[in-house]
Amino acid sequence: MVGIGTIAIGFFVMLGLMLTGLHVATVMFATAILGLLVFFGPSILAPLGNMMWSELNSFILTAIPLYVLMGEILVRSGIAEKMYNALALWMHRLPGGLLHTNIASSTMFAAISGSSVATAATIGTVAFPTFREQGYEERWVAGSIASGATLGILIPPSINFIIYGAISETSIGDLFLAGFVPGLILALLFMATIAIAAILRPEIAGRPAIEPTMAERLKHLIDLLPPLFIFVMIVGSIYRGWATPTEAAAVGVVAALLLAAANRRLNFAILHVALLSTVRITAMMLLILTTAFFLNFSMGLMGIPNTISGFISNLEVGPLTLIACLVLLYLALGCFLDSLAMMIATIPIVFPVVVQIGFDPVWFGVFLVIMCELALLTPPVGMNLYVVQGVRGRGSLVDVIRGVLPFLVSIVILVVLISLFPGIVLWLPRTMAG
Amino acid sequence: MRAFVRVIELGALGAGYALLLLAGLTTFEIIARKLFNFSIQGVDELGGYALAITASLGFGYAALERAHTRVDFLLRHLPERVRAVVHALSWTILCAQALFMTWHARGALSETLLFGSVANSPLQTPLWIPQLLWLAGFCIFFASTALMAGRAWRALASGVPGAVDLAAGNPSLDDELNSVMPAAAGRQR
Repeated sequence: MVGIGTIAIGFFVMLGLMLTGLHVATVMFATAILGLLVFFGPSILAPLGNMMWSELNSFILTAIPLYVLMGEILVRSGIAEKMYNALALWMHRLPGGLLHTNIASSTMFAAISGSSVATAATIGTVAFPTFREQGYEERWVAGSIASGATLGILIPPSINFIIYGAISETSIGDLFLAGFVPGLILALLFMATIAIAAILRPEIAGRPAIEPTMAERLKHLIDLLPPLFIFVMIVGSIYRGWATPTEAAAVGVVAALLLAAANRRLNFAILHVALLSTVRITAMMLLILTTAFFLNFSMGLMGIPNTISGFISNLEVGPLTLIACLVLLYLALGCFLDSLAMMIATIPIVFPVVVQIGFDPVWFGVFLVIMCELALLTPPVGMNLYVVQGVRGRGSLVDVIRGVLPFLVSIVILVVLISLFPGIVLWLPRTMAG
Repeated sequence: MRAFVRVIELGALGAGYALLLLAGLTTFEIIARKLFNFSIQGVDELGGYALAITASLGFGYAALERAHTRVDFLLRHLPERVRAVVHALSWTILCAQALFMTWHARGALSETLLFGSVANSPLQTPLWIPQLLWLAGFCIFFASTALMAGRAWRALASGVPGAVDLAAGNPSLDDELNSVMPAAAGRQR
């Protein structure tokens, strides 16, 4: 049918068109529709409306706006400041001091938010003023916030996992559980990076603040309870099989509202901003997602995944070589594409291929989300770089990019770890199944 | 024109409240199921409709807010005239896509009406009800992309430098930050 050369040309034309600045959804939609028209003629488009309805009329995808809404409310609920300050009291003794607080609070905020950009903006807003007085090297401050925030999409709940699960028909519950252990390992790798750097070059960390008393530290632990409660409720209920990811998100929204009300941060103005923002973000994601379903459909009909996996099998490369090639491919794509668009546009092509070759769908989901984390941090289009620079509001973007570099190494180490020991990813979802 | 924008905003807000209501209903359903062993039927079905309608209504709102993803980093380095033409073209093409999707959504609804389809579920919802709202969303999507394309071409015709960027370019970083985190934008500047 379609030869490997034609596929490669089509793929690069699609990427090229995205780079021209057309809407990403338009480019994917046009690719899918043109493919169908050329190879099957106009009659294939007749059921398009019904396909669109059955993809969008979906309780599974309803999880997207619900997690976005939960995050939108929590961002405005005042929970982040309290959490940050409580964690700071425990971290300042480590080598690198408060820098660890950025990672720890990002990790914790990631556990109640499904978005990395929101995590970066929230933690950045709280963190920068704290650092200004204490003489830390600003490129480390910015780097740790931008990198720590990428945990938002790896630690459950995660919008990226929902989208991956929806397109590839992989269990979202399994993906959530699978992201948890790699997320914690990555947080520890980030903290190890800071500790090593601080031991080698003590001047990156500022002068120690006043020693807090144990009573003070214990008193503030109570501020960690609300986010912990929301996280345990969501992941626990999915793990125990009490609720689907969508249902858990609904409960999360209600809990977030109660929390915001308890902090006296809830009023109609705030609620309306959160609701409108939720609808906007959801629509943005769903338009690309709808077109990805068409792309999925047309790729499948044209037999493109079969052709590619046949081609790769003939090359007789080992799985580790293949993973290395995928890392390079995604690293390159991630420099130029928005991370979500990159993920959604490539799943219809790459997912069926890697599964035919024998990768586990859940493992590949975690791998792909880690690639999205890299994409969020690589210039010129790494969104987290710009968000952190925007919140920081002084100096140059180059400081943030240099600050992120050591943390990129941690992410690559994580990829190597999960490639050599897939159990890191698959252990938790399997204990649930067994 | 202002009234039209206002209607779209109210539609988006309505979709937001529907999501809030859905969250409440689902929470109630889970508590009832776990603690009292009874279930109100059909929350998941309503959730599916809520998503479909939120999506189609939201498409238009997101278009007006310029939230639909574009990769503009190459574009930013191109000469102003070229950039302006690309903006106008990309909105025109999105508008054509919206029309295409609206046309097919209409096809789905007319088939439902023809066969009198009802949902295969305990609620047995006549499908034309959610699908009509869904189609209305697509019509709004088409109208708002047409509005954006019109703005872009008019700004291009005016010949004022930077006018198209302002009318139809991606939002600036400050706007985006503002939407993520109001307190973050314009900080210490």
